[in-house]
Amino acid sequence: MNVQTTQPLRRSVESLLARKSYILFLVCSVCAVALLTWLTLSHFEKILLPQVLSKSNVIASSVRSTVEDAVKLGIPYDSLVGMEDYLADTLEENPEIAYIKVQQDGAREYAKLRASYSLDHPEDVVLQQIEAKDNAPRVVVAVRASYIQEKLQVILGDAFVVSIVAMIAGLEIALFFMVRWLMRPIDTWRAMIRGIERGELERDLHQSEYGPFSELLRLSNAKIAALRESFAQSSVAKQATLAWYQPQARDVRTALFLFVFSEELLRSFFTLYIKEMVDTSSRMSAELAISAPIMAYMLVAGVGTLFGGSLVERLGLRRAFGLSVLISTVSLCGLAVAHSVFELVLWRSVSAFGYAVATIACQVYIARTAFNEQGNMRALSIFVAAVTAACICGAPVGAVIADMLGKPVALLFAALMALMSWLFFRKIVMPAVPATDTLKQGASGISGFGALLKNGNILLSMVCGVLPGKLMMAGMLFYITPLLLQKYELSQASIGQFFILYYVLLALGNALISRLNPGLHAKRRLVVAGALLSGAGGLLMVWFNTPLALAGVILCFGLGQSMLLTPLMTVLLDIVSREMPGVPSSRALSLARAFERVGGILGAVLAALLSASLGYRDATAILGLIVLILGLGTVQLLRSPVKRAVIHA
Amino acid sequence: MRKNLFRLFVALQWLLVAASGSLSLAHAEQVKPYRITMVVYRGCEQACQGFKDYWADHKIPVEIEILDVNNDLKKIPGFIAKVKATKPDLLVTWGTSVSLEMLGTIDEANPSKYVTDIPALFMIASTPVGSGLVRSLASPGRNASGTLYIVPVDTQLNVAKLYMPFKRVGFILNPLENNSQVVLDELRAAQKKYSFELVERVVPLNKAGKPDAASLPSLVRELAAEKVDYLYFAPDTFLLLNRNVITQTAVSLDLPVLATSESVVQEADALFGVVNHYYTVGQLTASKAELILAKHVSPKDIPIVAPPGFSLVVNMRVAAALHHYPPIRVLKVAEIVH
Repeated sequence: MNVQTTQPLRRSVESLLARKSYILFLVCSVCAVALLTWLTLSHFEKILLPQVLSKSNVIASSVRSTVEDAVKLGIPYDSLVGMEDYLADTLEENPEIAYIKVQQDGAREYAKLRASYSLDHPEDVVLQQIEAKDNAPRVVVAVRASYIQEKLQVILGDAFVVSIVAMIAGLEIALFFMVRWLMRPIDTWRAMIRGIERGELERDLHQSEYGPFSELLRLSNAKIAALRESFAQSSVAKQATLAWYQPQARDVRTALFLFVFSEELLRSFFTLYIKEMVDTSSRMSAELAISAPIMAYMLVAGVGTLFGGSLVERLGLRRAFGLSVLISTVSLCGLAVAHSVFELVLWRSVSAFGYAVATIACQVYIARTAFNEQGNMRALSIFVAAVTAACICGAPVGAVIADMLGKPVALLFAALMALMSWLFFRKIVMPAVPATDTLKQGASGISGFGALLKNGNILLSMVCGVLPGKLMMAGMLFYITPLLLQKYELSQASIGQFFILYYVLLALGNALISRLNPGLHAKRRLVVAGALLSGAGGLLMVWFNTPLALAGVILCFGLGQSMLLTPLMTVLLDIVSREMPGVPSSRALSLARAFERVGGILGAVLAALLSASLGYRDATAILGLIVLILGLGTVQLLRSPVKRAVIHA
Repeated sequence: MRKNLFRLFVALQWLLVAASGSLSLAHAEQVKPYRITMVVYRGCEQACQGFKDYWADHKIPVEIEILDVNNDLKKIPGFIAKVKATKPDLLVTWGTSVSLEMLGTIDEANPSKYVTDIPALFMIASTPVGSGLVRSLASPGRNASGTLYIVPVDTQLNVAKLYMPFKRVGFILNPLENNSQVVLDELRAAQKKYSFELVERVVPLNKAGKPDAASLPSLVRELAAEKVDYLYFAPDTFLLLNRNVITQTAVSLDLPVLATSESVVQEADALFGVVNHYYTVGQLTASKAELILAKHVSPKDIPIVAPPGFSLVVNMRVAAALHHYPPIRVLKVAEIVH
């Protein structure tokens, strides 16, 4: 009865705060970004167009002077040597030019056209012409009409990326303060009211509260303490050993975000950093040397994930996370001062172990704060959301720091972020260890995994759900996408935008599914659809060979993964709790992480082998086909019985 | 891009000269001028002039005595005696032949026969190690150091390819000149890398055991008949003395000459040369001399280096005659002479 009366209050206050804050923030951000972009673009177009035309005029003058000088030196105009190479150099140095023609009446014409342009389509270009004079020839420079649009598109893309990163980072900061100042005090006060209603007064404020409600909470707590004292005179005094506030999954979000952010900062420049260290005189090929730290990272992260769960159970959440932060911070500093690929392999392996343990610790924390299937779903979506937000922000921020201050500084910044994550983690209240996990704390990691893998449904979820996603991600997204886009002659900024596309889709999909919170059977359907869609997009490359087709592949993959990731974890935990009640949930999560790493290694290896033999385009299609075929296996999950949802009051 | 690179080379060249020039501050309180004796082969040409101008530019008082061999190496023993008697602060030699005659090889540096006790610097020596002047470029190993002037063969061939693709390169070897043999070995080694075939001809010796200059036109004709694309003009004193005969014969046979010394382009009929200007080499040598005189650095501790960068000198008169005009890319970085 009491619960029924408090539930609507919980929804209304929190929903109001969250919804209004999000909407306000988003509206302000979008308006500001739209205004800024519009102003920039309008000025840009006004400024750029005359500048481009003016530049083309200078280029025409320069070409004419060069030819005039050659003629003055005694080279007959018709005998000029290497004009094609010279004009080709000019075209290469000036991407806005479609073609250049050098003409003299009654003499030969020298011309160089950019591929895909024709002298027969003057509507595609804006012509700048300098007339012939004395020995100097006439020079015609054609500026590509699409150049301005391309530049504008690049700026729009940049504005989009910067806006997304700024909004997500801003939301994470806003979320932290909202949780600390509003939601946590409200939850605490609610717990106090419930305690009074139930006569359970043996609780206290274990930590200072902040924000506008802190005084209210302090007064309420003092009143309850006084009430407890008066009861104590008439009965046996009870110790106030418990805290009013019960930990929530959202509490760990900032620490998780910062930790993953520290790792994702490396994403955009780490391969180049390795490349700089490659010893060209070494017997090992440069490609292998570049892949060595990446492979070592995936391997150690996979192995670390296998034992991470046991380590977390043994050390406890706080110490396990603290240890992983220490490991990551030291290894990131080590990477910053490394001088050889060997050192990079060493430090990257160490950081992989830290990353594996930290993420497992956060997942276990989140799992322990969920009391029912619905809460579990929401909690896991918080994990995915924090990781995705960090992924979206990490790569571009890391790229900017590396560009401006150098890669070692970016690595040191990453170390600082890892260290900061500990500051947030150490302040949060640890959740109680569930009875099932406590019972199994002594069990060995290997036996737990063995038992899990003997279960057909779990094996199916791993091999057909978890593994293909990471296979596609490492192979198609991380390995092939940059190389293929470079082949399409796209800029580095544009390549970055393709990555953002994936993460944004993942975040939006995750948020939507979390919001809709479908039933378990619907989640299984989402898993199947997501698994199939993740690979199906790859088949686009069979018919098309354009950046747009690759964007389609990434779009399908992003949508598929957003449909699959959170529901798959819920389905997995459901199978474990229903079919293997003795196995702790953390073990299943560790196994999933291990399969993710295996998928990552397989993806990188397959992509390298397929690209070498078939090219990037076909490699993408084949990877998609492999993922699609593996995804078909998830259909079997639809046939297994669904656990009846238990409604907890 | 290439023009910028060229400018960078020139800037570096002058930076080096300027940096070494900063040492001149040390001479602010110098009262007695340094005494330098220069032994040159054919008058005070550009390298010698660059050397002399350095001291004037940096306001360092020096007394330079120039001993001119004037193409006659028989004068050398007399110059050795004079140097030993006057004991200058520094001896500077011009060219490989003069340097070897004055200083001897490192293995035969007999003090009674050569100048060994006076610090010495050589310049315009093509291959100091190959000719036995020093043990190594990094560490000369004797009381003499110097400067290089030949641009590396790799660089020469790269520029030559830019000017005009080639498949066959002709080479005239003076069997008595070690410099020629060293360069020939480098060219042989580069054949595979640059995909060309080297066609070699050896200058026959006359009755006096000297290279026969009269044979040079026929050797050039033989190479032209072999359809070589370039005649590579080796840095060799004998060939340099006969540069006009060789290059004019080559032009008459439509055979372009690729030179390694600027005089072959400027004073004869080579089509172009990938060279270091003698004047710059002279200035660089003077900066080394300053180290010895003002900073008391021993010559054996001074590494032998060339000026940074190089110049591409094109003889436009020859280009017109041969109808081998420089490509526009080359023209933009070349120095043109007529």
